[in-house]
Amino acid sequence: MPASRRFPSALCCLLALCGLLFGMAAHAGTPGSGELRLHDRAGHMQSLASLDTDVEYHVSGLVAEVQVRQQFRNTGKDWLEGDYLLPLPVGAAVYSMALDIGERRIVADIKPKEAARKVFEQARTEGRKAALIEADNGNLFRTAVTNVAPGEAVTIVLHYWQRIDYQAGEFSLRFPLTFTPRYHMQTGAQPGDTGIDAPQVFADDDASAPLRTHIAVRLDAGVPLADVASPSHAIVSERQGKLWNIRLRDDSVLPDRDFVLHWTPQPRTQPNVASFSQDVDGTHYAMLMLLPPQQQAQRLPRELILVIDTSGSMGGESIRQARAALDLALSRLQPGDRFNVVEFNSILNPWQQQAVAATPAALQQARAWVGQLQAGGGTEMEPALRFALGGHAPPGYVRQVLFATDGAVDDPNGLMHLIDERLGDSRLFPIGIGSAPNAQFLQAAARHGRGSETVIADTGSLAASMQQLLAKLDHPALRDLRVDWPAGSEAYPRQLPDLYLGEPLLVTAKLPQRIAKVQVHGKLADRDWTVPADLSTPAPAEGLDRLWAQSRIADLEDRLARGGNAEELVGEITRTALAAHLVSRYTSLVAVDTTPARSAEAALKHTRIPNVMPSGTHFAQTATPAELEGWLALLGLLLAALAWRMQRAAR
Amino acid sequence: MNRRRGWRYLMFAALALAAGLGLDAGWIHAKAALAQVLLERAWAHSDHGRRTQRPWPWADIAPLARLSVPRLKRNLIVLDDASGQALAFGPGWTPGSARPGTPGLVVISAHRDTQFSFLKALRPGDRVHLEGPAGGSDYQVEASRIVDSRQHGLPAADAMDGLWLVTCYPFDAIVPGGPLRYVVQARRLNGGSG
Repeated sequence: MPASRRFPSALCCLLALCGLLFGMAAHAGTPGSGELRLHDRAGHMQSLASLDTDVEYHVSGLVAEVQVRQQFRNTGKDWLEGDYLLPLPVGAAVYSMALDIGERRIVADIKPKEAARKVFEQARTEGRKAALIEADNGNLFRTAVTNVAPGEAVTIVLHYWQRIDYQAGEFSLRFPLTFTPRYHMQTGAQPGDTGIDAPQVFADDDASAPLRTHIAVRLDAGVPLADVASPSHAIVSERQGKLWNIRLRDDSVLPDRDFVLHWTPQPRTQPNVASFSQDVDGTHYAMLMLLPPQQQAQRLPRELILVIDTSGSMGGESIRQARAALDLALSRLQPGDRFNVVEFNSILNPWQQQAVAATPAALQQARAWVGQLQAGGGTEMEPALRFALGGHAPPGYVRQVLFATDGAVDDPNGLMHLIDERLGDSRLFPIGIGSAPNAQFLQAAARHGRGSETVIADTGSLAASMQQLLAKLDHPALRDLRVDWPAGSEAYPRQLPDLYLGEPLLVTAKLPQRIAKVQVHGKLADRDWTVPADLSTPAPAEGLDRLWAQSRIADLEDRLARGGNAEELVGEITRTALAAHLVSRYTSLVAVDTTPARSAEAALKHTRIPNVMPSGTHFAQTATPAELEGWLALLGLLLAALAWRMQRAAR
Repeated sequence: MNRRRGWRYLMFAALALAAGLGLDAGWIHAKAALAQVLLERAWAHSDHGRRTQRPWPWADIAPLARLSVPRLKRNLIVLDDASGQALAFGPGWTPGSARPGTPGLVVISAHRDTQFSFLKALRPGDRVHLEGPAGGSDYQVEASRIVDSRQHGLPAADAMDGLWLVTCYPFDAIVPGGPLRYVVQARRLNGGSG
């Protein structure tokens, strides 16, 4: 009986061979490290300037004051000027900048953007040292410094306020250390086009001169902490009474990925309500954080509409992630729920014309349908949104639309109008897929769709991110939230979002006078919900005036994006920013030394400090599986021949 | 008897597998060859890449430039994207690198087993011509090198004035997706400060 032994062993061999081949294909993807070296136009390497960044966080409760020190060193023989694109967290209120030259400190003034540029230009030509910080696009800022003497070092010190995130019982902060190249580069946008001001420059990894970054956090959480951790970097944390001091374990890190820090209060001290206040020149500012009681209400039946972007840009890993995300969502549906799946690229391809009941048979069919989806074609998002938002759920159902996409679209504003118009009772939850999804599009779609966005950074975090989102969706949201502030108050965000499990309500308000309490109203699935929030013993806080102004600017910019009166809104943004001393899209900070340094004869060279490419930005994949498939086909033929012989032998 | 049937099933399964894989491998090469014909047509209507001309109605790629190597008699239409989807049809320009025909570093990638299999034949001194929306540029090959994409990224667009042609390495590797890249570096001859 030789054949009986040979049959399984031949199969084992084949399987082992296949395993080996595919194992080799799944190569380890260690992120590349980037360092700084400058080239001039002719391709000659210049290591003339270097930039050290020192970030110091002072966290107090729900706000943080952050100091960023950038030391620009000129190690060459010429007078030098340089600029750098500095990413800051979304919502950062940049209010101060100073230029340190040796022992002297020059403090910057806030000016309208064009005026600030003029001041900077003039100082530049007159040979005086000057520094400028202006808002570029989204959360990118551009810092520039000019007339730095050979061998000299100057330091730009800037300060901003930011709010701390609080989600599902965990505080977190994120400091962006680099940024993903902006997508409109694909359509060949040039500097000066809307949305992009400064050319985006990334360092050549070949180089050796470092772009050093130090980060330190002084943390006063206000509550006893159970844990402080960073998923992104190795940290060292020390406790001193109620203060925590956290710093990076390594003296400096390469800025190729964001710094993330989480801290968790001890279980019984998790705050459910917190208020902070500040008086500035007779005006009263308040910040209110309120965590609705964990809703134990029964899980509501729901109608889940899953939309998947299968355009060409989703090819490869992205489409696999999107399919896996949808499959997870489908697997969580329960009898009594309803659902539908829609695929779109150049054309719209719904699985069913109407949502159907989530019977095991229907779910199995839908999962198989999702499993075979392939990426290809263009991105026509509008019909898909129209279709997904068009249906109506039966009474008593919540309607949730999950939208998996990389957001590579040209006309986001048109889509936002469509969402505003058609949303009805549906809620939209964009899921960002791929290594660099369009975060601004996802955030905007979530805000307009009154849902929240989820970004899946890599395949490893897919299951966890999706489980968190689906757990949130399992519980009914607290809707139609409003806070009855006294007359004459101005609170932001103006339209409060629906709150899902574990999400806090966070409002910043300007009040005519101190008040003891406000009522917060909302709607639970089955009843109205009202709770008083105590403002009588607020913790004193700083920076609320600036964070309030920043929220106001964000609100005005949103109105501008929705097609509001441009002249009026731009004027209002400029006035708000100037009054609060904030850098905005229309205002910049500029500092100029009074004494000229460079004589008219000495030439000035310009250098651009490149950013480090985000880890994971790589060369294109440039091999097809054709050759592998060819060899495997040959192997299949051999195996067939072997099987034929064995079959004859066994006769 | 049962055993014999088992072998027979295995034979048919293996034959089907071989046919499927063989067809897919053939399809990859056919797509690469056929697409160039359609792209050639779209390019002719695109006014040197100045107008976006889709090679077929549902394509989300468009021709952007024409790459030619006179010594090797190669003539390829370059697409405006370097995603896996685009590279199945032709060489792709890396968004974020300089636009073809402008000063700066232009990066073009293609598959090592289809369009860019000729890269190994390029020698220092070879001329490469790139014709794009902003005009034509001549380049001279200076060197080729092998880089590990796990440790190296692409340099910035204004880091140098030249052209990088990128493909996978080694050329005869059986398994796709390896980390090594073969990079042909060329210097710009006309225009700018080249």
